[in-house]
Amino acid sequence: MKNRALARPFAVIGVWFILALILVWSLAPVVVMVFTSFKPRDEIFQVPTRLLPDVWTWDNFVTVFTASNMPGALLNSIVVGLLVAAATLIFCFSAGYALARFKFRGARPMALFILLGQVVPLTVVLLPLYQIVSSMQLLDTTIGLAFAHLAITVPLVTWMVRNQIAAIPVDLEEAAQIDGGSRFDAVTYITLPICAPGLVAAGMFAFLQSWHEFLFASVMTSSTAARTAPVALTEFANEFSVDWGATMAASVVLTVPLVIAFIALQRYFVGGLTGGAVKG
Amino acid sequence: MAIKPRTGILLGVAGVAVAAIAATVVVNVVNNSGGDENVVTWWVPDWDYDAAVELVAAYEADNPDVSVEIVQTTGDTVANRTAVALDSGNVPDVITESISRVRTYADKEQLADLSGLFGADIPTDDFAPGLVDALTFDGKTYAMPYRWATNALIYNPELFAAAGIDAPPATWDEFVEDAKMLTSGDVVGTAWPMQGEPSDLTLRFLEFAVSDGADIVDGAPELSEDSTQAAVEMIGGSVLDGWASPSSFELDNTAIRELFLQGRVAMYPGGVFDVAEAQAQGAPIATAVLPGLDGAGTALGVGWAHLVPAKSAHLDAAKDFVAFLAEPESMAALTLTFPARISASEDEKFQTPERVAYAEQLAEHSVPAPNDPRWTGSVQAVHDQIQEVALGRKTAEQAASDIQQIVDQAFAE
Repeated sequence: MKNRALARPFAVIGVWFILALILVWSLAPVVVMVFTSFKPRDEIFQVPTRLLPDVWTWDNFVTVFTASNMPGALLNSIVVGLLVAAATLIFCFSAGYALARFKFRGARPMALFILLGQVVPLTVVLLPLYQIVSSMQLLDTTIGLAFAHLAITVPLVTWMVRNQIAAIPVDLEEAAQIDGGSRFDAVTYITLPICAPGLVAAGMFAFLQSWHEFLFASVMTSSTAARTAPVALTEFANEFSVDWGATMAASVVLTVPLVIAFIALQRYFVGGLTGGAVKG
Repeated sequence: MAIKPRTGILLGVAGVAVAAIAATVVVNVVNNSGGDENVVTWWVPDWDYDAAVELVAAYEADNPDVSVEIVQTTGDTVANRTAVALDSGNVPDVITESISRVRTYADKEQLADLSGLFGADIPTDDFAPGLVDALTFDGKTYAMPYRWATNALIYNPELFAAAGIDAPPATWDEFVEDAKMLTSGDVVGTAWPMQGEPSDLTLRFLEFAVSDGADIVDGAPELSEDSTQAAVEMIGGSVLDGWASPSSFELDNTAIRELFLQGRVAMYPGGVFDVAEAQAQGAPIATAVLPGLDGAGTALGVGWAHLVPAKSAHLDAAKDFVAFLAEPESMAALTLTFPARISASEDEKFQTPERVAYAEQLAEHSVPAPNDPRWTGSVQAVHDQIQEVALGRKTAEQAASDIQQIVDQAFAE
């Protein structure tokens, strides 16, 4: 008994130590990115390397906002991300509801088949998607890129939503229908409010996927009018050199709004991802 | 049955969203499916954009019935975008692309034959040695080169003077000897780009190997174990011996230049762009041709060219525009390094004293870098072998043998 009591503080210290180690491991690159963004050019390659700048400067951020296409690209990223989130929720809620509620032959294989889209490498689907978007004359447009991003988000989000809906007792919807409502009313007044946190998580997931996606964006957008932020980051690397200060500053600009949004909505995100986990 | 308010709103929002998406597609299809017979689309890397705008204005002034639409690409995205566009058949009319990738596209028959553009106005012998040949396959030339560059030796004359060295090294032995003398305190003799693009390191490796008897035939390196071993020893061994910076493992071209500007790297093989940057920073800098085994070393030429996709909707107009871009004045305007045509090099911006070594290197001691896809596919593996030697895990002899196997296997497939 005494041994166990003694062991407990050590176990707690051990757990905290491991957590601290993981935290440092995860955050170290972000910390380096943030501090590098405030360094003047000659300090970035200073030997020996220092974490904190000797002279703090906003020059790199000024470059990002005044001498690059990043402001427009950030706006494009927001537009594409919102389009993807909205379309994903519309399509995936419909599909997820059908898979969770309707009994039809092949429902289970179809659900698994949809998930296959998540395991296929993006490079494999790049060319077919390019041709589809091209045939719709939507190359180099934000909406065309949003279409392409749906190929990434739809498979997993359909499953997330399907599980959310399956976890809601069907009796609730039946009760609403017995009270005179249609199936649409049951969905609108019962199912949708209950799985709202899950849908927020799904929307965030879709937005995040679109926000940092590079491959499709780099191929399907050619002009600065549709270029998204991850692609605009490559502007700071030219044929002969890389402006690391501006690259880091742009990365900070790209990351910080997302971190703030995630912190604000993280309880929905965690709840949404784990919702329906006990009932498939 | 009456629709409840919230249900109505939900259905309405979903319906409007789907209708908006459908309408957008329809509008785009209607607006863009016609195509404009007089518009040539040109994909340009962003570093050429400003000069490109001026050139296009001049071209359009001379050709009022044609307009050129410029689309900016970036260095990191142009390869992927070009490959997908060519594979899909949905192509622009002119693409500015790296010469190293031309052969890959030509092998797939995705490029238009530009041989007809060469002649009295654009003579092939006005181009850098071997350059047009490197873009000619089965008698057809598939690209119009416009910018061309090699490395030369960049060194810090103040560090050389402080070490008691009065001239840059002319041979490998002198290079090693000087580097050892220069390595002292915070200063190292040289550094290699082992981080970043693997081709940066393998280009230097090949420069040593070619200077020692290896050859480049039809876009592919023909290595011998002796020349490979000597080249690997020169790079990997220098890190082990300490006269090349041990931080080479973390350095790319930009980082090496920055360390040179800080006076921590005394000399390195670098491009002419670095010279301009050093001059802008007021750093001490001088240049010389690369040292070789017994005299001047051979540098590998790399550069950019204009391509016309075979499926271009405006082939004739595109070729005419490329012919305009091949004029000496256009080439001079479009490059910071060196123009592909010798006559274009007469522009005064290519005549500064620091460029003399580069001009000599280009004209007399250079060959085009390999562009065979089987070699470019082996670059990462070759890079890793050189790194193994620098880490002391392999001898130069073992690495040379492994590199030979890697290359043999790639070309056997």
